[in-house]
Amino acid sequence: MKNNKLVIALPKGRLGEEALELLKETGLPIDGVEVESRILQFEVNDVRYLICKPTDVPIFVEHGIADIGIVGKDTIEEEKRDVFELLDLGFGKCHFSVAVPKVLAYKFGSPFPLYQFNHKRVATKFINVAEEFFAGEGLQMELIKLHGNVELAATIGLADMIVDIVSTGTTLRENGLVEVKEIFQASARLIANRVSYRVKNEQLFKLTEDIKKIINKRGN
Amino acid sequence: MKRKLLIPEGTKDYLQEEAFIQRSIVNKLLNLFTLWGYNEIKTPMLEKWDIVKKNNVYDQKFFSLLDKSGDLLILRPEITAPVARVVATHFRDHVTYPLRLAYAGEVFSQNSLKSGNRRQKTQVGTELIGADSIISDCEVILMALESLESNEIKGYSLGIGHMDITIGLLNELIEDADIREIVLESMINKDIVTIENILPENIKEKVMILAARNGGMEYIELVKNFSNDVKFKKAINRLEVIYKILEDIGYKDRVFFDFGILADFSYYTGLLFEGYGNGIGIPILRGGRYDNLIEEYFKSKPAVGFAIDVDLYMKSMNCKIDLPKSEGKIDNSNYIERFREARFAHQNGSIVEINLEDNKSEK
Repeated sequence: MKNNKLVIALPKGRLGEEALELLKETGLPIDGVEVESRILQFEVNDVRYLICKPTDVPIFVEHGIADIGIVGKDTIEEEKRDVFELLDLGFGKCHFSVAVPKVLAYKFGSPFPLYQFNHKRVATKFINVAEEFFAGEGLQMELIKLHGNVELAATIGLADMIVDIVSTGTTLRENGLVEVKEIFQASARLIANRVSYRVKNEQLFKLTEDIKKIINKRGN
Repeated sequence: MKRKLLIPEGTKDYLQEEAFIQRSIVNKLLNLFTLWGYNEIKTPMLEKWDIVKKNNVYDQKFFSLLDKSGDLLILRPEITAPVARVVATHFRDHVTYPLRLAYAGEVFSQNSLKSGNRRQKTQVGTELIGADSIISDCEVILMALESLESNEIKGYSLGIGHMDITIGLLNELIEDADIREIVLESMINKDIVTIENILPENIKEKVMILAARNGGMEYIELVKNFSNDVKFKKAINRLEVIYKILEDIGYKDRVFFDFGILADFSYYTGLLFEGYGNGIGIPILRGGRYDNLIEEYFKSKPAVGFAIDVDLYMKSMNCKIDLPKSEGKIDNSNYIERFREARFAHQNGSIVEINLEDNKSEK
């Protein structure tokens, strides 16, 4: 919004690289922009790029520091920020799941009777997602917030189960955990600040349409 | 143990300069409203819950407390409902309508503190009661524009929506009540992806124009044939007239229509608008028409108004306001003369400070 430049917040890592690739295809100038360097800000012609931690992308966008951003639906759901969710970009696919130790899964069979675990401990990085899911099932769990390697919590008995993002399932398997319930699917989204999207509607709508065309072409 | 001297989350202290700027801004805006014939009224910060709970006027999270007799009180989260209560108690049929009222004061809510949201905010606003003409909508919109203009809000603009257009069209286009509910909720949450995914092709295009596009007359032209409903047509017609007036007065580049704009309080019925400034990610000003609110307390009175969030307004303004500077110290060795000189200076509007040291001989 500042200086009428378009400000775009991009996440570090693989998601950011895919996002950059997509923006390049729309014709936005991205020369020299890197999502994995020590430089956190790039300015190319009329576009400024901010490189942030994925969970921070919605924060920069919500505050209007960035007009738009690209971030996973998983982060949007967990952060609950007031932003425009414009487009499903189709990449960065993963899903949220409840996972339990293999032994437990075998003991209780399928479908896994979550209702027998009310008030038990759940370890997760995604407190909001977990709370909302369990509340929807009529369950109030004791949620333990961890910052990484959540699988560990269930294997050594800190928690009875975990809620985490799963993309291939390899990490779960290697730690002796089994998915017993899928919560929802997620993929990368294009988001916009609520004021930017109204004030710069023409520009941002056109960008959204351009991206949509590229995604559709990729899909075919 | 060392005490942590914290103030409640979402509140702040205003030191000299900021307090002065805030007061200046509030006065300047109230003066602007006075020029339009709107005079200030003040209502208590506390209201009785059973008076404002009617019709779910407040569906937000507010602060509540109990008084000695066990009555539930709330700290007002906005000032429009209190004004409606004033109309229903003080003014009733004793005054000639339309009635033009202004207010300034603190409001409180316990909404999420994300997005730099605060629990205590200062609002300045106006309410025009007892008029439902197009011109009355126009007067209030012009006052909103002048409010943004008067302190040079950077790149200010005003988005205008209308409940009868947005809600009317959603009701007409989407037959399934559950889907309609999801679409409406998605519009409020600005979740365009869900709207695109849930609607069939033939309806999607129209709803997406409401939810994701905006613009001037060309946008109205695009939307106007979506329905033949009488209320819808009437709303479109009103907006066309309003636009023509705003255009001719010179605000063409400052206003746009956006039917994705929805109300933050459930009492709004027709016109809705939001004011924006550069670099501020949330609307600085919000307002609209609430024709059914006063009826909850008294009898039907159409009304329209808006409120400015003074802190956001201060963040976005270009106009610089300086704290008045002292013109010097008065240190006449004769104590009486010292105060006489000071009084003389004050009478001439000069800022002077008294030297507070006693004469050496008297120590």
